[in-house]
Amino acid sequence: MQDQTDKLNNQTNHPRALEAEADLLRAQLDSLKKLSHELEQEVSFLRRHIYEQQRIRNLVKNLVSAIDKTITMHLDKIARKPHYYPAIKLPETSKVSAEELLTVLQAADKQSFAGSPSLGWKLLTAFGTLLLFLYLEVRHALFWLAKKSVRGLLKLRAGARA
Amino acid sequence: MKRTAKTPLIIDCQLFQTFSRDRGMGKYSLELLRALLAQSQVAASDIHFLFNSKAKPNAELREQLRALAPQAQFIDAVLELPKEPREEYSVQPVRLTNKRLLNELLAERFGTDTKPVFLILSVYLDEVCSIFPDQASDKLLIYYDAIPYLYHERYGQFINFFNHYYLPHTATVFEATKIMTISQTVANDLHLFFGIQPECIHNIDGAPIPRAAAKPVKPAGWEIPRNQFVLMPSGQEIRKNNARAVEAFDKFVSQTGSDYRLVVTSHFNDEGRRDLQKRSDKVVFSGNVSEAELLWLYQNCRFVLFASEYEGLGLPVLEAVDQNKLVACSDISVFREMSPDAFYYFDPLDVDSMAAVLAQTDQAAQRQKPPPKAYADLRRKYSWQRTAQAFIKGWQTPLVLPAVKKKKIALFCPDPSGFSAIGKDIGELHAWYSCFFDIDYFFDKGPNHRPLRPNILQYAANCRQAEDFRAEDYVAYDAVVYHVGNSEYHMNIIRAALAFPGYMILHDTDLSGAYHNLVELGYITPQRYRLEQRLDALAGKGSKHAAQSAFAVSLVNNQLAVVTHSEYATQAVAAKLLHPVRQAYLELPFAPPIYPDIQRRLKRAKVSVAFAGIIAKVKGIDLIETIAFSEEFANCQINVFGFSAVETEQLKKLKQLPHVNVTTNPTDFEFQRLLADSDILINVRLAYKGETSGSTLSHMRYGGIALVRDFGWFSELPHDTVIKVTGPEATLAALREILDDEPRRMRLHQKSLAYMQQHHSHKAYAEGMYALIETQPSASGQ
Repeated sequence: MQDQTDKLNNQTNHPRALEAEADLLRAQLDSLKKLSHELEQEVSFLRRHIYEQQRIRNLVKNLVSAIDKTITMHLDKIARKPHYYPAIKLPETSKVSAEELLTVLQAADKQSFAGSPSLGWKLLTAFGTLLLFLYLEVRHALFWLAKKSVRGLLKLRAGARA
Repeated sequence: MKRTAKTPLIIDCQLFQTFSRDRGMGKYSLELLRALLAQSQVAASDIHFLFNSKAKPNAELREQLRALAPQAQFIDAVLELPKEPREEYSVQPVRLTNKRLLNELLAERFGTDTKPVFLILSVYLDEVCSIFPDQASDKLLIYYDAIPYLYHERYGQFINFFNHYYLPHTATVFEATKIMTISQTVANDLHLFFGIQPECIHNIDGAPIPRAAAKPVKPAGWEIPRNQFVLMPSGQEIRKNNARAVEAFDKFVSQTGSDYRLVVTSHFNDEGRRDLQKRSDKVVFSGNVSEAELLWLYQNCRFVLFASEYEGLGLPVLEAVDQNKLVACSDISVFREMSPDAFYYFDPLDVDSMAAVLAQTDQAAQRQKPPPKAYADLRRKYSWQRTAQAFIKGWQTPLVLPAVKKKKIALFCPDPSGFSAIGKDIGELHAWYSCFFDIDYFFDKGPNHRPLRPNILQYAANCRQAEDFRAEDYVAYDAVVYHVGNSEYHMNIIRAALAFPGYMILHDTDLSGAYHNLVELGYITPQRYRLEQRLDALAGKGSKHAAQSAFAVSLVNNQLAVVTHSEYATQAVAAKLLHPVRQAYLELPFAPPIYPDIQRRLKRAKVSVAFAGIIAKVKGIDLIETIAFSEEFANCQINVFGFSAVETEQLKKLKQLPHVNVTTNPTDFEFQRLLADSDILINVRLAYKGETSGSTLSHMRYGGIALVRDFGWFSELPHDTVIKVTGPEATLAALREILDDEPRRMRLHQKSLAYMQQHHSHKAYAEGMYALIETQPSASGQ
């Protein structure tokens, strides 16, 4: 067994065998260089891709935030007009006493508490709901678009590489 | 079914089934039980130890208890455990289930007629959920501290900590009939911040935990020579004030040229260590040490440093006393209550003060031993036997609370968690109010709500939104109570008060700001606003008090009764009444602490002059500049604190003034601490709108001296309790005068404290409200 191993060692130490091995290593090195170059390109693409992705994300984020603010502002305005208050008709005398005025105001205050919101407010609420619905749809669409763009970019790159 | 002749005493031992058994409260509870069971009054009771079969068993502890009380019985209840994680699951459903399970279990075991005494050793536990059974005749609770509530801005960072955990358990605190606190400081906090009645609070103190290891052992690898290090028992918590303590220590060693090390105990993570090491290279971390090693550290240190901003009891100081070591510690109430002269006190927020006191303590350590009498007194005062006796005394003191037929009321007020101080004050009234009333709260959040503090009433009472109140709700109550003030936090309250007659508590007589908001936010029309203005002009014509109110006519005339907090406001309302409406005058409740002597700092280099409340021009802040630059007032430290309502530039200017400290948006705890620490409060307003000043009353309840303008409600304060000035121009002269007259300052201090104790109690206020409602027909006319 020992004899056979020695023989094999002698064979691999032969100059021709070493030359063949060197050729093989050279070929491997070239291939590694090529691979390294490709990897560099890949990294560079991924960097660009990540940058693009971030840019798109920021764009969408800013857009959504701007829309958010506008919608919140409008909804706030609507929310701040929720209460019904009746128009007050004063007695047709030239001088109204404090007691008379108080009676009229008390009646209006009670009516306000019991009454339902005005038609105007109802319309405003309906408009608000519509706005909210549209906003949610637009938001959804924006996210969908952003996702698509990123996927598109990836596909494009994959195609180019192929 | 088993019946016993004696009243059973059930001790909820679930604490020992949690990790807290090895922490301070676990050790405290075990020592307390040991001492209690050695007392004949307790040993002779029909004792039952309650354990939870679903929680981690603790056989060793059971054996210890069996040895301590051989006649006692064990109850193995099957109670629910809180669901993890806390961020997702609230403990409230578990509380309700456990209450039902416990009620059923005790009814089965003792019968429905037996009313046991129930003791909970600790309520704020992660792994179990303790609750009082309904049939308990006495509900006893050991209360360690209110730290999470006092420092809610820190604890609030943990998601749902308050909503899912702290507030549900706080409802159990409100249920307790007798709360045993571990210090006077904790008793004061419960009373001041939760409004718990002093009648329900019993301070039992505590004592050092006896060490299992009798012999001290030097920590492995220890190289610092004996007597060459200062021991700082601590932990990685902001409240422990480690950063300032290390900075002060560094200053102290560089000033004195000594080679001492500061040994900090307990576990610190890498970041925490780096942070402290950055401040001083003299700091050494011992990590977690064994009891024997800790004993060695205590015995061989030069002295003990304890720089905490707040403590419930401060066991390390008692342990230092036990080892006869000098102590340099924070000038905070819990140490003041131990002894005013046994330790070396410093201001925990002032690094220079701390460094100077460290040098003083070091000098004293060279030449003298601790004061023998003071230390002997401390050892006597803080013993487990005395704690057990105090517990028994508290337990056996009959609880005398008003026995009245409760009225069902709807109470409208601003949300207690929000900006309005009225809401917070109502929260502090709840404990007393609930003795007289069965309350449904209707909170007004206002249009710009921002939570400033946890709402302590969230689970302790029925809470609803004011905007959800409907006409059909009105008839369900004996009375409806409205708290009305001049701000946007009263919109839904005013709307309801205009529609349904009730009992109105008027906090401001000028409601023009609130009416302006009512129009702006769409509650009323501009026409209604103008007509109220017209009505205001018509009502009270000819009365000299007519100008003392604005926009209040409709509101006060629509009520069954109006409550005011000053003669000024009473006259203002009377002038605008167009038909008979009952009026009542009650003093706004700001009860003094149960133990007032420990609230104020012991030593102050300068007289502390405060400007508190909302920082605004109308509050007379222009005076600050004059005082700060005047040589005459060089001996004054000016503290300005409150919610800022001035421009950023002006605030910046204020902060740059000499001798001026500005604290904006302080928490309730900071605000009260700053008020208690102030000698003189200046509240010389430019205008008065019929209000009662909460910050003035808060300051007076600590015995502070208020310098106020002689108008409106301020005029009505007794002359011997405050200093009154005619206007801003007279303020400086009055301040100068009082600074030069120390005996008068002492007289005013005592008088204001006595006045607040007699006139501004929560109990008197709740009684007054009850008397008013009881003598009137019900709100709904039923």
